[in-house]
Amino acid sequence: MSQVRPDEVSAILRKQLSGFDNEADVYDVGTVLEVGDGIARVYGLSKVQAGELVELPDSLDDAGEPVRGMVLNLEEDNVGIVLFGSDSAVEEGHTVKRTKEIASLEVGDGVLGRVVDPLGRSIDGKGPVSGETITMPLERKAPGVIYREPVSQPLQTGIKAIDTLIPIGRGQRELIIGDRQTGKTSIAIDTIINQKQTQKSDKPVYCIYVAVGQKGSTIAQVRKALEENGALEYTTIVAAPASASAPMRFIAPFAGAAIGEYFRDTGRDALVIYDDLSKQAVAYREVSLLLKRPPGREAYPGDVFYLHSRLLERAAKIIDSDNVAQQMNNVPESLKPRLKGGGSLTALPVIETQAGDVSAYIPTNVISITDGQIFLDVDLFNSGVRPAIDVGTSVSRVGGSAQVKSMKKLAGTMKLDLAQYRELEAFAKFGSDLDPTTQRQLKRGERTVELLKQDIYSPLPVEQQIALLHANNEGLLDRLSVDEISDFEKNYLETVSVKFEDEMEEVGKTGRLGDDLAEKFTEVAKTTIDQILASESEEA
Amino acid sequence: MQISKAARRYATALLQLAIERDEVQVILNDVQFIRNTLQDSRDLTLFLRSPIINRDDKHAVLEKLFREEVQELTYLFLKLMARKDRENLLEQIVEAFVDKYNEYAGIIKIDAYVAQDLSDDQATELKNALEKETQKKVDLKIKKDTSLKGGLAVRIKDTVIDGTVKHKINQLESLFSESTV
Repeated sequence: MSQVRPDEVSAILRKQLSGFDNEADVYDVGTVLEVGDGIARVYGLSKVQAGELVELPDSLDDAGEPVRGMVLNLEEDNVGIVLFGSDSAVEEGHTVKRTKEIASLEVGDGVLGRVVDPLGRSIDGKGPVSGETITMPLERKAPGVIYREPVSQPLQTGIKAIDTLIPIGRGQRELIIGDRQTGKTSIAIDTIINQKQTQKSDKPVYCIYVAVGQKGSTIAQVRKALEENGALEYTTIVAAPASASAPMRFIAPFAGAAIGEYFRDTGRDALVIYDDLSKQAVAYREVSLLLKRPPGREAYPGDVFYLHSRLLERAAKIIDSDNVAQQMNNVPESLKPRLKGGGSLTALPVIETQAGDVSAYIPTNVISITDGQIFLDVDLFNSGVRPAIDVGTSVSRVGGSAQVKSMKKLAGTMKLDLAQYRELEAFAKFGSDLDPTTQRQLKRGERTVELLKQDIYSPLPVEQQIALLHANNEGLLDRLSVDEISDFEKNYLETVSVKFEDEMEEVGKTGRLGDDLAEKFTEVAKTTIDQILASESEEA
Repeated sequence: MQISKAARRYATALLQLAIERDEVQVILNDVQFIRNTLQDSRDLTLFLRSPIINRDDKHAVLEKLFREEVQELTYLFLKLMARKDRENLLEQIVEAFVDKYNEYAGIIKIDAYVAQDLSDDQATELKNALEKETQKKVDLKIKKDTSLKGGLAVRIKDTVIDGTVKHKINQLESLFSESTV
């Protein structure tokens, strides 16, 4: 139960009483004409702005707080507002008051480790967000061209298949798309967990996980997973569960973007995950139809593309120059003194497809907006390839330039191996009838696919990925059978991490694998393989 | 009351015609007479609104009620409405007409909310102050509401100038709740 701080009471009282009788408050009001389905039509409010927050002081919700709403439609003789709370408290004739502020939320470093709703109110029972906060508007124009920079630094996801084949850079927007139950959220969570290693560096990545229209239990699970892996302390969860009203679900990603922008504009790196935008589009469709906006394809309103494009456009790599960054457009006044260049906001939007149909309206829209997509396939998932990333259809349009040097070199060979394997895969059943070259390519492909499998919540640091890729590219794994690959991976990584601790750290920092070290890695790999083969023959 | 677009158009037409013929005052009297009749008789309002009742009946009733009481122009206007099947809008049209007239004559309607009855002097003083502030003739309506506890609030169109004790207390309450732990 919340309590008033006694020491503040007298201060507030004194301040209020001293200026009690000489000032009258001026505000604008309107009257509720009709209400229903979370929408209210209001007469009056003639000076109200689109997107402004309004308050209904007569309509008190279950907690005794006045219901709040946001102005979405300005019409000739009335104003259409969406209600954030329950509409059952609102009655015809109730007063609606302008707040004169565009829908916004309070953001500060205190939001890290917290679960908040899309209006920034904490919902994890730990009281209000602590520390100094800045009011960030939900809707804000994306930074202009001159304040941006091409993507150049990697954002390591810790997932082998992504970091090697579909690399993501800081400031990029990479779509995670797939059917239900294909591990979309797991990829997102793994990526957040992997940012733990950046926290000690000079460029930590802060994370925001936006849950839109998900089950409350799922959100609790995500929170628990993050907490258990020590990732919650640098993560904010913005929760608009399935039980939240449609307007709440529709603004949740914007709240996530606003929190991300706080970090981005103060010169830090942030990662925001919108899980998922198909549910947000559905919430927006609901609100739009109730506001009688005309429906278009699949009954989505005409501006559903703009809804997603303006959201994702806010992900950016800001130019690494404080002077230029300080001129940035549409910055809230209170943030201006703290503006810094060199920050970034990476967005990983999630889209759920129905029966693998990527040509539906929302998926095609978001694919065209983002800088690439990670496509997750049900068949792969069911055949045990997890993460079920379809490397053939997944691309990263800009991430390549952000990949670390050695990784880029090694990934080239690997891409080739995989492409050849996919071409020949259909012939695999002919087995020994094939010529030796084809057999070798098939063998290599099978092992590469096996190597890319990874358990959830176990992201790999980049240096370990490099070590593994090196062993595979040298063709050393061809001696092992497919089911021995995971044993090899474990033993090999353990050995190199212990044996070359300092060198590995160096590789992680610079991203360069020297020839000397590469040879040493080859030696270790060979010994590990010999050991595995020896123990196998012993058992036999 | 929400006034429909059609009602506003009828009212505008009537006012413009009245201005042209220089009969604004008399027409205004007629309209106010109709308005008062409608306000006094809920039955008449419901009768006009009802979609079940034949329009000839509505026409006949309007004719009987107002034929002798109103000017030629107002009567013609009522007839036009009957012919266009707009009797149901009469209530809104008279409201819209009064609004339009007020706009034309530079009159502004202001509601004042007080906790205790004002003396006549205080009321005039308030009215004068408001007229000075808005630069318009003020049609002041004073409403008493004891729940305000003290002070005074004035609503000019959509803007409220609130100096009531109730509002101050509410502000204080929200200040306290903001500083809760």
